[in-house]
Amino acid sequence: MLRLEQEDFTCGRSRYLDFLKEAAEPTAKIFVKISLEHTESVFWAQIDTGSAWSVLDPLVAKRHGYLDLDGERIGLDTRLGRKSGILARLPVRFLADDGVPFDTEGTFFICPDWPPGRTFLGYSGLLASMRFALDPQANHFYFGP
Amino acid sequence: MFKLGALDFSCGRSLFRDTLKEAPESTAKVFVKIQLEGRSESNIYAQIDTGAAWSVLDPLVAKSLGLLDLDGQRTTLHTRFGRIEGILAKLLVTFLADDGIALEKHGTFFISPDWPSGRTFLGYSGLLASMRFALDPRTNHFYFGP
Amino acid sequence: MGQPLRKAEPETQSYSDRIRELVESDMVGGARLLLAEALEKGDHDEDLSGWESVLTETKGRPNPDVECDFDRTPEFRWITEHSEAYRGQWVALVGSELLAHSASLQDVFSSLERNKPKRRPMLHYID
Repeated sequence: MLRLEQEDFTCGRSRYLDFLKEAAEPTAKIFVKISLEHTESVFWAQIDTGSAWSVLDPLVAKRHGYLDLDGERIGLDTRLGRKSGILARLPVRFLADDGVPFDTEGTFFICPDWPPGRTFLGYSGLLASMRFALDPQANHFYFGP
Repeated sequence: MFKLGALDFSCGRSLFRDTLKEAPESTAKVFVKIQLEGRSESNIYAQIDTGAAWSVLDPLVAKSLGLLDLDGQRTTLHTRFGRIEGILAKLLVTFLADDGIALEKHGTFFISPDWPSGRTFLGYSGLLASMRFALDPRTNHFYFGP
Repeated sequence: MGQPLRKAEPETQSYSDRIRELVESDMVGGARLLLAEALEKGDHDEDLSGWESVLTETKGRPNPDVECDFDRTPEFRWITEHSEAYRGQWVALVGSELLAHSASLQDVFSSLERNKPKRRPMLHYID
């Protein structure tokens, strides 16, 4: 694990992907492994430090019944234009290939018009409250409290 | 500094800022200290944006450094401000260290006079993808290494 | 002694609407401050628990009870090689083995419920 002086900086490490869909994502991005609602399934989610909120894939939201949640309704200007949806607090697990997984919560923007297949992890409601590091030479994503 | 096993993970550390406006009302972001083209008058804060493909240079900074008229690769980017025309150019970026050693990297920047001024972004592809970095929001420390 | 030019207007908007405006204007810090003020004063009849939930700072914890994941390179390779045939569908994979696929994520989950995989499956939507 990563150590800062004598202390562990992170608790877990996983491999991340640079390219998720070779055709649709021509430039490198960071896709990490998470599970939602702590189900026994893995999804890829893109780390986006430039985004305030995390965004949940609407198909995943639909499956979990989040599209009908009574959350706080807002409109947001996104890279895909103005979108309307709700903000909801959801549990997220960062899965570890080495070390210990990390359970936390994030505020997600849930919008039925968001393109399917894309979940983003944003800074303000999630990443800002955890430590993380990236090593592109090894494609390693480190995370911890 | 950071260690990964017996190896150094990072070479330098700096304090990052959550906001550039001294305004607690703003949404928290990650602004780090950089210098461009090795020129000390170009020390600026730039926002780390792992979701962006390219880095983008504030047009006012580009103008002051004489980079608006560079002979780069012309391209159009789809941004949250609409379609913007500009050039892609390779620039020398120095990540300034408060502790340890500064890191120099070449990064590909989108430069356009039409980009809103006051915003410089450091994107993943073409810059961050070729360096190690870590964020500690508890202490606002940004760690970086080759 | 100077006089104010006009009296301060009483706030007519609800806390909830003002918080929403701040969030939509990329002023999350301001939204948090206003929420804290509203909760401290308490002299309103608004339910702000929704905003409290989404604006509260997150605290996470390492969870040693959860099994480690493993290298997903075979899954990624499978997706790269087979994506054309499964466009618009969810696929569930363990290694290079396709466990289930459907346009409906619910159907994929149901299939995995019926035939529980030995290892944690990776779910991916091929668009």
